Amino acid sequence: MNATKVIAEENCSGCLLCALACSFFNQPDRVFNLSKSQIKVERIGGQNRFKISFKEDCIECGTCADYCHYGVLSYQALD
Amino acid sequence: MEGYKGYAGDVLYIDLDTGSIAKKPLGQDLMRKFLGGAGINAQLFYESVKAHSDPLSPGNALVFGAGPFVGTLILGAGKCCATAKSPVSGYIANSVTGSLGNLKFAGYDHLVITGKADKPVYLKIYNDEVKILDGNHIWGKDVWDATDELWKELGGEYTIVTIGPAGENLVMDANIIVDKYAGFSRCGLGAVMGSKNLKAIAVYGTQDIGVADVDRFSDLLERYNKDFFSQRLLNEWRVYGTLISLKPMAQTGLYPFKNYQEAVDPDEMIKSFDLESFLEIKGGDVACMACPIGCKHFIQVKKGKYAGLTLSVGCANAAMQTWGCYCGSLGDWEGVFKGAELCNRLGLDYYNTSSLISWAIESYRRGIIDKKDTEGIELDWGKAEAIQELIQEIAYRRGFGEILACGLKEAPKRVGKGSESYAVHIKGLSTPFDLRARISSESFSQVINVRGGHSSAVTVTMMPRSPGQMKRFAERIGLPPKDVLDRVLTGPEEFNPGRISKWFEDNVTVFDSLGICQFPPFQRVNLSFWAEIYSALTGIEMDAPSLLTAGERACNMRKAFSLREGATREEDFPPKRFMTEALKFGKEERGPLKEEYVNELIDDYYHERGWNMDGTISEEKIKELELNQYFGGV
Repeated sequence: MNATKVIAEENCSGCLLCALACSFFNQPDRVFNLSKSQIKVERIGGQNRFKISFKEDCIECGTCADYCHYGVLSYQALD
Repeated sequence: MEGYKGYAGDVLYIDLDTGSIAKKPLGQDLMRKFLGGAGINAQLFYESVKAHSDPLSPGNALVFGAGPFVGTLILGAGKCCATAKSPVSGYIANSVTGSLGNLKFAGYDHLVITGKADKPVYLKIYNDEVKILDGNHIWGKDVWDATDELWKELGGEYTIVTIGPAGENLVMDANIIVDKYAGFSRCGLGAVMGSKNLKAIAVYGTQDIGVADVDRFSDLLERYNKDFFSQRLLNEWRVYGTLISLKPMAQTGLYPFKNYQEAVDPDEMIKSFDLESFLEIKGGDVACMACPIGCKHFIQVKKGKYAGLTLSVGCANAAMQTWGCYCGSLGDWEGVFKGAELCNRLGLDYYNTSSLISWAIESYRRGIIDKKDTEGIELDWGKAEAIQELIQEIAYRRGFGEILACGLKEAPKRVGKGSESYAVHIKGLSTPFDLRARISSESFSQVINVRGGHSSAVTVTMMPRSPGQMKRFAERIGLPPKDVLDRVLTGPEEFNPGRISKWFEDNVTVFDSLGICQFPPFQRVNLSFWAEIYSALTGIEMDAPSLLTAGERACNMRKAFSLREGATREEDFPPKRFMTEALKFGKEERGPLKEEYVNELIDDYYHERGWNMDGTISEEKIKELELNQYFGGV
């Protein structure tokens, strides 16, 4: 079984492609809506630096990792 | 909104005179004719501002727009646009940045702000909850402190659009900054916002952005992504951002030095701004919404007198060009980013502010002004501390800063004594590219750009290209159209700078209207692809020619505004320095521009646009673009 993991949070650029992809591919209504995404990208330290977390309804599909081009997320086998 | 997707569907109107807040549906006619973003901004602005309104009066409108692609997964679709009457030029201002996508999620494609609040305020926009709130507690704070305060009050999920002390003090070259770094930088938009007593706009939302044909859109997205990631140099774009151009720009003479008296010697430029040293202070990538490249940087200075300085920088090349080259501080990365930090905090345009300061340094060295004028500040090339002091004086209108705060058109008039000859600008806007170094669409379009000295026709002519490359590029992207190729892609470098500027100005306007970044990795996409994905997203069927016509229509709408304000052909002309002085470039010397040649290029541009030779829009063109209803009086 695979799971989505945050492997290098410090690389996050804040592009939000992960959250946009999550809302579009995983919502039944197929819309873009950051608030419906199961991945949360939160600003930290008053800078353009970010913390990543997953909401409880995340289905571990790995879509967000597919759309992360900064090496922050990885879809990999559970340890 | 019924029917059409991709758009949020509404325009939010805020009148700060009366406190009225109104929401109106975005008309389908506007979508088809102007697409969105910069295009619809131009139309909304034109209709909201009466002729000859003072840019700093309540009668000016400040319009924000996020195009139909913004808020979707289309790579590079984060660009939003701000429009107003510019206090710098007196004509239409248009500036783009990549971090205002939350406007769409709040349910609005455009935001039109008119009037003037009777005390400092800020706007809070959360879906339908739109409030004009007391801004006294953030008035007087710099951009970063005001942003922190609003994040603390409202939450970090809000996008914060704010002005600094420069905007509050109506400094001519004040800008608007989003989330502490992304700038609506040029044309004095910060002064317009300040003149409305509007300190900030905080926006967040939870609305859907729908897709008309999900399967078609998804297939197109997959095709786009595959093509996109097969491009060369994407990693270099990631690592260096706009500094990717340092070497070729240096070798082409595109780094004006000491107020455009010279171009920096290419070997010296490459050596002094060593990219390995840059990487030592780069702490991470920063991206616009939906961008997989992240050409912006998080900077962390670890040693030296600015140790501890951290900031996000949108365009590192612009920071280096202005605080490094214009002001004669070669090789001082830390000093460059200290200048950038001050501008980000105080809310000032890098280009015009550094150009003003370099003009002041030159005037000082020529004995036109002295220590008495500058109230004790000794000015010289590369003296970072004096330069930084002057940046602050400008923002707070203190000492000599009071004169510099009047901008590149007015400050030299106030100083007089021949100093006007050394002020380098077009319509009040300093020119990033020196036309004596190279005539490209990027440099030439600074001359005819309605907003003034900034490139409006970005393509691939900035550096010399190999034989046949321009034609191959045209074929790849579908522009210029085949029927005009013979007259546009001609000449020793295989392009006519005047004629090609028309086509790429239209193209860039399409990008700014849809919300796509205009940088090369996104420009290499064929126009017909943008039309197809626009159709799939919105449900409005468009083809490549219709998209291009919408871009052309917006360009003509902006020109119509200038003409209504009294613009003449004479203002479409390079600065005196470019016409009368040679440019020293390494061991070479490039002669001044020839007037006859410049006029020939302007004629070519007007002709390609279908305009009259005095720069007015021909009646045929107005009819062809169906613009009669908008500017019958021009």
